[in-house]
Amino acid sequence: MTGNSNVNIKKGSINYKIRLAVQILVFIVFICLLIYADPIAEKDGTVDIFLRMSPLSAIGAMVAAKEFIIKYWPAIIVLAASLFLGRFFCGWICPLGTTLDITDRLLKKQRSRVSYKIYDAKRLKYYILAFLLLSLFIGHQMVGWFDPISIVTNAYTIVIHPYLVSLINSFFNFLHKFYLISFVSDKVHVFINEALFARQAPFFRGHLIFLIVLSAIISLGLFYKRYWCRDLCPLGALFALFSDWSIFKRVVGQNICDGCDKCTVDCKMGAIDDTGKKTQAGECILCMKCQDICPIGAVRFTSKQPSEQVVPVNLTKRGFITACVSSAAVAPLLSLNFQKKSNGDFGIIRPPGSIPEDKFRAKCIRCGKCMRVCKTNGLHPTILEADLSGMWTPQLIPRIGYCAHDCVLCTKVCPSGAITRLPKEKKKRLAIGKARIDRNRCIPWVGYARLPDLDKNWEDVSCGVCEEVCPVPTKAIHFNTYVHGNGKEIRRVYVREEACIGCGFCEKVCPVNGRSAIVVEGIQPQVMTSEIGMLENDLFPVSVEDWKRKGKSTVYAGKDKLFEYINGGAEVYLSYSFIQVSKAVYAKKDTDNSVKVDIWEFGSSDDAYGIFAKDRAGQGVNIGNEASLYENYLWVWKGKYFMSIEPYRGNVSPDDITFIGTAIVDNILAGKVSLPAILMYLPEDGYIQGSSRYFHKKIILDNIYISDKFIDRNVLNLSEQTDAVVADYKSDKSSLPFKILIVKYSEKSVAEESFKNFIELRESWGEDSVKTDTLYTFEDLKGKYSSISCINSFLVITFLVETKKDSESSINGVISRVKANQG
Amino acid sequence: MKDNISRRTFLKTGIAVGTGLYGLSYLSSFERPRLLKTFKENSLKKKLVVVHGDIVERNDESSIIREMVSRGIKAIGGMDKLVSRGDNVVIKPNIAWDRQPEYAVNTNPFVVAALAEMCIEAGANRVSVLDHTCAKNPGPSYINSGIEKAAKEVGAEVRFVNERLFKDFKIPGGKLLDSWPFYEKFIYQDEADVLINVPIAKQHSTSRLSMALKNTMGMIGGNRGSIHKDIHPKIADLNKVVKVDLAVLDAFRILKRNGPTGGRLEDVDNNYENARRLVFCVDPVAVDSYGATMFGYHGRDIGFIRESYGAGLGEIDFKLRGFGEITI
Repeated sequence: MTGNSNVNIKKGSINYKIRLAVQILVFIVFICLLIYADPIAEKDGTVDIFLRMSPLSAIGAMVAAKEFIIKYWPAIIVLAASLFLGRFFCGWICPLGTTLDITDRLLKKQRSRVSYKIYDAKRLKYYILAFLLLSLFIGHQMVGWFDPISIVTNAYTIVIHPYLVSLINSFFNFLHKFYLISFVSDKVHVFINEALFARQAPFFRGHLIFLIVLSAIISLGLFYKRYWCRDLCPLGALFALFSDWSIFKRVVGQNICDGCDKCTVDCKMGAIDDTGKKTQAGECILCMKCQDICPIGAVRFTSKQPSEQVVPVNLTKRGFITACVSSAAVAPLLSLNFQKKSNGDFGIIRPPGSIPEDKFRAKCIRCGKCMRVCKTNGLHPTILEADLSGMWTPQLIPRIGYCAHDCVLCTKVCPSGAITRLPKEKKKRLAIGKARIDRNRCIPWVGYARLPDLDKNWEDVSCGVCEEVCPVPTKAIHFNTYVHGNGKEIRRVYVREEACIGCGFCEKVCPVNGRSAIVVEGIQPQVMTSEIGMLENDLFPVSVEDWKRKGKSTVYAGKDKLFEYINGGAEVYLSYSFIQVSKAVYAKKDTDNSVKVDIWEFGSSDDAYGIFAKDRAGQGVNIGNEASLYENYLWVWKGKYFMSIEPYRGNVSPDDITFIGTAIVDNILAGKVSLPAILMYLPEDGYIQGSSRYFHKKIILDNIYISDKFIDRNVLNLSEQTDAVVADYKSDKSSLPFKILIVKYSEKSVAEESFKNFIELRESWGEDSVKTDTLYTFEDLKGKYSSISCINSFLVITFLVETKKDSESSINGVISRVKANQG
Repeated sequence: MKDNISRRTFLKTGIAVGTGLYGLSYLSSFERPRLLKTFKENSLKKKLVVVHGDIVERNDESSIIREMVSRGIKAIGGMDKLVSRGDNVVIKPNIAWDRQPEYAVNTNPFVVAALAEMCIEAGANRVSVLDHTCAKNPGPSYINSGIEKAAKEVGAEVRFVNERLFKDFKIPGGKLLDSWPFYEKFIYQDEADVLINVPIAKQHSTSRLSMALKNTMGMIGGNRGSIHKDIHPKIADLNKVVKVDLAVLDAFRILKRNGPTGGRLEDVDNNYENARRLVFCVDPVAVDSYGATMFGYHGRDIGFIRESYGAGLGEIDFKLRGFGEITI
């Protein structure tokens, strides 16, 4: 077909037209793959085929990650093909080349003024290539920023598509306002939006940065056509180096060429020398334009190029060394931690399925494909969050878009395997981050913190949108309900970290203005959360030797469910920060003996201790943080868990109970735990072991005998915000113990008010008081003494003491401890 | 075209184009008066009808539900009593989440399809099905809920919500809200002659239950999250604006726990005793009040039902205006 140098040949070249057709076709395919990326990827189509055709990013990802990536087979084919076909990729396929061809044509008029005004640095691209490849060995992958396919994918994804869509939208929104026009325009609008697959106008952070880059590349076309391709493109340089054996080299019929210069002027790559006869094979992109315009048809493309027409690649030693040295110098500089975080943990959320951070940066070629397909538009390029070296890698910004629970599109389109494929079932359990609640912003928490204000003028501060949208089937966000004196509730929000998958839906919908009150931070490496069934198994093993769990455990979470479980007495548990209780029954093999295990979870380990201290009986045993055993009943406190194990059916020995208890408790993870801080103010002299009770609310004190008269009113202002402890002390004079109560208030004024209230109460009972300094002592009708004093935000009271002296000295004992600890 | 323009031409054309554009935008700022939707005059019975039905195989679901819907509608008078020839009907199912029908978080697609079909049979000009999803991208929700496919098959129009068509509307007698952005298609007479609310019954963490009244949340825009503070009176407020002509509660499957998003089959109740029914009534409060009983509550226990009743939006005693049960 080619190579006919007949003088009579018609002007024009069929080859040129074929190329043009192929180029346009390929470009259309490229654009369609971008626009319809979502539906195609959904059906497992290869939308990333163009990106995988680039040998430059293939080499980059493979060398930087030090592994062979099989997904890059198209790149290998392209590279092998260019051995025989030269730089055909640049002229026939490369979408950036096509884009530049289009823009160059648009800039034709302008170009005539300034063309050739800058240096045509053909060698520069080789040096850039050398620079990039060398930096790979220093362990820094920069090819993604220079790979033309990455650039063009980004250009259309991040700049052109969003701009086009918002332009269309604003135009039709304007038309929509006119009644008569809107009839037609609205329909056209819907149609265009559906055709462009742009129901929502996409938006990408940093689009302006990329617009500048893109404009620069395009406006260089003012000086030379395809300036990027001829002087800068490292991929082009790579092909040029491989093009020596090409079977399509430009050959000019020496004898018939009349040196009209047309081809020299028109060659967009500047591959033809001034005479029009010599060709630089490495620069020629086989566009066939010269063949098309040659008035006498003197141009052919064959494998044999006469040696006098060859212009070899001409690199200087100096330039090469400069490239290498600068690469060696710049690459480590880029790796300097901009964020000054040495462990590389930046807290940014990578897409699901991302490989560990180091490898991710090595493999990610910054193409923006994952951002393109993200259904919620949540993936955005990093700018400096992941350092300079990680620039333009994807990150999830939940406030803009969360990670949809049922979507794995980004894992399907990654060309380099930086994001690995995930089945949907697995993805639903993969934690890419963890949510945290900012209690200074969260509506219920802030409401709870300003309870005194709220008390005067109640308004509803319940929110819970985050819990509502949480896609984890058992919810990774739970409530801890606080019930106020007036019966109103505040549902404070907790994140169950073990279940949270970090999808960011909660952050997206948080109704707090501006920054969300619940923030998701990325975790590295991404880990699987336990399966829903396994969460139960975590607490309750399926079997403990001979004992088998009967069925599944039952979970009662939140206030309503607790009433379902224990109707009477639930208030006691709710007066602590109750989260949930789970129940399971274990039966022994071949017998009808069974035990019931309850595991209560509280908001803090202090509260779990409080319940433990309230319920415990019998002697202490060494299980968990503290435990006590009474006959065949066992109570254990461990971290924020409180467990009770009791016989359910049959004959269960204390040994069985202890055995099961130990096995289950060992299964529960708890960090370092200490007793509630207020317990340290209790004097040691005469303290009866195991008698202390830790609590917050009056309901617990009501059940403790402190005086003959029931105190109806909450004179001590006990609430969730107060910490209180009451303990028994041995008395020398009497067989009955006396009691010391210490209450810590959040504010001093409340302590003083309660102090006054208590004195008024005792006086109203007609008891006499003896006052020394701030210490009041009352004697009740039975001759027992009770003293009260107030220091800082503490209130110290003794009850039922035999002698006045003991009563006062006990108070002073506590006060001196408070003073010692508070400085 | 001339290459250069004079200073005079520049000023002249500048002023001309500027005035023109300003004039256009000034003209466009006039809103043409549009009538708000009112309740459609109808001769439907006021009673509440519950249709029970069960399936043995999954494949029967479509036909059984169709039967249930048609019997239910017949029992309150028939669709032709509500939809007249040439009416524009808007059906508002719950398509809030990207989940499959068996998780019982979105309205059953067959209920929607059956209703749409009956509306078309009754001579409706256009039946559109839409919801403002909670998921940011409505596409997957529409597809995975099965509603898009089912409704399109019977000839209904399935459209996504268009962000620019939310408009602020006054709430007459609003307790906590003075005004709120609503979606035009539910509000204007020329968009909707008949509005059918087709919610699913499910547990909801904030409002306790989500049924017909709560489904109104899918007709509004704005900062929907902020509604959740003091949700009960606010739901009642929203329902003061929306004129629902017929409420059909889908309780074929009900979500008992971990609502409103669900995602676990264990939490879905499929029992004939508790679920497997559809509820038809012109009064959404009565529908919700009945729905509450399936979850072991009374209507009065649920804040927004109580508030809506208090606001005179409907009858909390669902048996007051008649009650019928049909079993298939």
